[in-house]
Amino acid sequence: MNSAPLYFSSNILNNLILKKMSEINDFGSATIRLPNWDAEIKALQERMQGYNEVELVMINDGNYSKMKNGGSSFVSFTDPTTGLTWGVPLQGGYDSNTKTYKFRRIIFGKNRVYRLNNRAEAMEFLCVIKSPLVEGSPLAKYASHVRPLFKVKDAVLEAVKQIRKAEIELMTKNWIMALSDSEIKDFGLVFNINPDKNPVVVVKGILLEKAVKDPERMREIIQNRSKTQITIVIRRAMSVGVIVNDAISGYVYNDTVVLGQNEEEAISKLAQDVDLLQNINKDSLVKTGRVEVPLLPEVELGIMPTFTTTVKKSPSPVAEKVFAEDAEAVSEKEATPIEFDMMPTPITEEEIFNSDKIQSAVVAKKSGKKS
Amino acid sequence: MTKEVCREIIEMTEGRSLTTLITSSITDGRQVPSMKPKIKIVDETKSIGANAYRFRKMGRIQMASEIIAQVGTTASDGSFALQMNDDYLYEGNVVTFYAPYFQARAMSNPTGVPGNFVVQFQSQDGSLFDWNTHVAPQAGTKTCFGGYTSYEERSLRGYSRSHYPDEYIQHMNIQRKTVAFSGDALTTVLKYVPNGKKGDAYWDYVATSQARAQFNLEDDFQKMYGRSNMIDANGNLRPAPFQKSRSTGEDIMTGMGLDQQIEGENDSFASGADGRATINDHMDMMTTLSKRSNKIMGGHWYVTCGTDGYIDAQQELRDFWRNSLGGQSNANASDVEIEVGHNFNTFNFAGQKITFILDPQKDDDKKFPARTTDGRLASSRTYHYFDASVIDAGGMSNIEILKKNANGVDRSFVSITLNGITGSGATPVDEVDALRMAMLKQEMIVCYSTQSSGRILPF
Repeated sequence: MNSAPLYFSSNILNNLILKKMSEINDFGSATIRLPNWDAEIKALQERMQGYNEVELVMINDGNYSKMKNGGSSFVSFTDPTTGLTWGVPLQGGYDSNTKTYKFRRIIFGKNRVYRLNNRAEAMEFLCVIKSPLVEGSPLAKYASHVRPLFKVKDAVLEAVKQIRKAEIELMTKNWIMALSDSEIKDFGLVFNINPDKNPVVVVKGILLEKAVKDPERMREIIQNRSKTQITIVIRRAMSVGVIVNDAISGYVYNDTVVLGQNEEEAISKLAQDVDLLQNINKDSLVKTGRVEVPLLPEVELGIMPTFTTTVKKSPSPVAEKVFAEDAEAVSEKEATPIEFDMMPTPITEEEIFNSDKIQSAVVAKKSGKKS
Repeated sequence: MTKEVCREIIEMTEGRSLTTLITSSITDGRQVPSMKPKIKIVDETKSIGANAYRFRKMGRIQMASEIIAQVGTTASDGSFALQMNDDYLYEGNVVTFYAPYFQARAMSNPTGVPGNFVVQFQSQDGSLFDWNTHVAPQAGTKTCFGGYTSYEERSLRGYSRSHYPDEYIQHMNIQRKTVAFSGDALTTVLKYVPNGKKGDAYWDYVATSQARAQFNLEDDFQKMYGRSNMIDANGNLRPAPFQKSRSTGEDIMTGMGLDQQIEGENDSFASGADGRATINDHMDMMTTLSKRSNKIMGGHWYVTCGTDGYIDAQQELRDFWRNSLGGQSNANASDVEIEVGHNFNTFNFAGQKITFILDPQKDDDKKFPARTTDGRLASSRTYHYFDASVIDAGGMSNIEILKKNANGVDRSFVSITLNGITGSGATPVDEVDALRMAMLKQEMIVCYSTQSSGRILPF
């Protein structure tokens, strides 16, 4: 754990620094522009209400990354857009000749904790989150040569992710459990589980295992319904020889229709040609001796049930607050849970936490529209 | 050969590879002038027969213990009890707290379950433990540290805690390059005069010469900046490669370059007004790395940078030498010329030393086009600090290139030339009017002590 010495833990020192800053700002002659610390700290404390302490952690906490020191340092960052220099000036560090400040080096790293009710630590934290090494830094766009290594730990967000993962796991498992035997066999084809060699119960078991192991991946497959259905048709057709994978022509239907060099190309083609897709589906079902399933318009084959659920928006993620400029707007965004249909667009983390979308959803809900 | 085809070509090309020069034994001077490796040469014993190399590093062997809360109140004789998250402390430990002047002896072994162990303490001088004074000021996790032990006469037993080392794994990387050119092009050759010694002069086909140079540059890039495919997006080591060849279905394995190995260890940003790294930045980095090193004094780091970074360092060292050390510029006058100044490439500070090395590839704006806000190349002003210490009594170098070599099969560099019906003296193997040269190498670069390496990045 890297702990930086806190040179400014005394209020007297803080006052001295701030007094010095205000003097210089009053002169209006300094070549370095400093943030309005009073306002910045107040805004930070307001929007971070409920968080007495914030902690920096490594973004990737895998077994390899965990062994890294995770230490970093800087003196100051000047925002090219605002012209403000984010650094903690040394006492007496103002040089009236050059009209510049001397800043102290700020050392930070993984597991560094900042108490936001401590003025000096709040100042330091406001500087640290400007480092391009911290995820979400507004200055990262000026430093494309480095990638973020740290993030502000958000216990709420972590909990929400776990809950979300559990919800998705539950939903995908329920969805699989509700499939009929023929649907289980079909869906197993997506994972290359041969229905001829595996009894339905085994296929079902494997699918459930996959849902537990990687629920998000399972959700993506289920939600990407068109592609999944076409994949099933292609693989079923290949298993009974309706489609063959020719070394020269690639995927060929009925020895005549070339679908593409690989499965991706075949899926793309069939997504555009619904009649052809229906024919292949029909032929493959006939060959497997199964009852023909009526086809729905477009690429909706109706061979898989739909997957619809309701997701509640998470409470306040710290990252949103740390970098938010308008604390009130953020608070309002958090107020109302939203609902949306998971079909047909897949849900992403961005969607869950994207403030713009949430905001528009909130507005829509308030005005009585369904979002 | 006639003189016309044997002309010397001025090669205005990319700078030649550095990483392989400073870490490995380059014995073939065809594409690079014979340079003495800066870091210890890798010897034959550093060959391994596997595709991965697992090594263990012992980190800390003393840990802090996490305090959850005080149990009850402090007694008038200085006794108190704490609820601990772990059972790391044991009876006899003399523990220091966030307020370092306050020490207390663990009077009992921990009792309880993980997350709720209770340890009885008594202060060393009888002063009263005060949570608000001795523990609460610590931000985040509250800790204490068992610094030493003290026991009574005729004590019954002592205790200790064992620690396991961290395990690191680095992986091999197979690189290949094949060049083929027509028999007609065989007459285009280059003459090389290594080190200006005419007796060593030799000629080479332009095409093969270029291919070898490219191979060297690619090798240099991989060794410095290669990103492993054996680590997933969350920083976990993969048990097996996830990339597979679409033509053969075989695993594709890529090891880490030095940049990825030291990324996230000690990264700092340059603080100069124009974005340059100041002498203070280098001092701070040396201080940080010294703390991470297992050496007290005598540490030596090689600092690679591009030309911009090298010039910045020159100016910083020159000013430091002149302003802080009272140095003077030298002046060597001959009849008509005066040479002024020095090449400042080594900085000695607090018993530690850094040597700046110019890495040509960092100046390549095609390879690294990213620029800082002032429009200068970011890579050229990025400093990589590599701990060049010998890390054990056996003289093991901190940075090594390990090659795949076992059972008489050496894959550090393999090349073959296949001749067709070209008219050259070599025996043809087929009737194609072309000559082909294929190269392959299977190696990895390993930095063992990454925690004492770091980077200074420009902004």
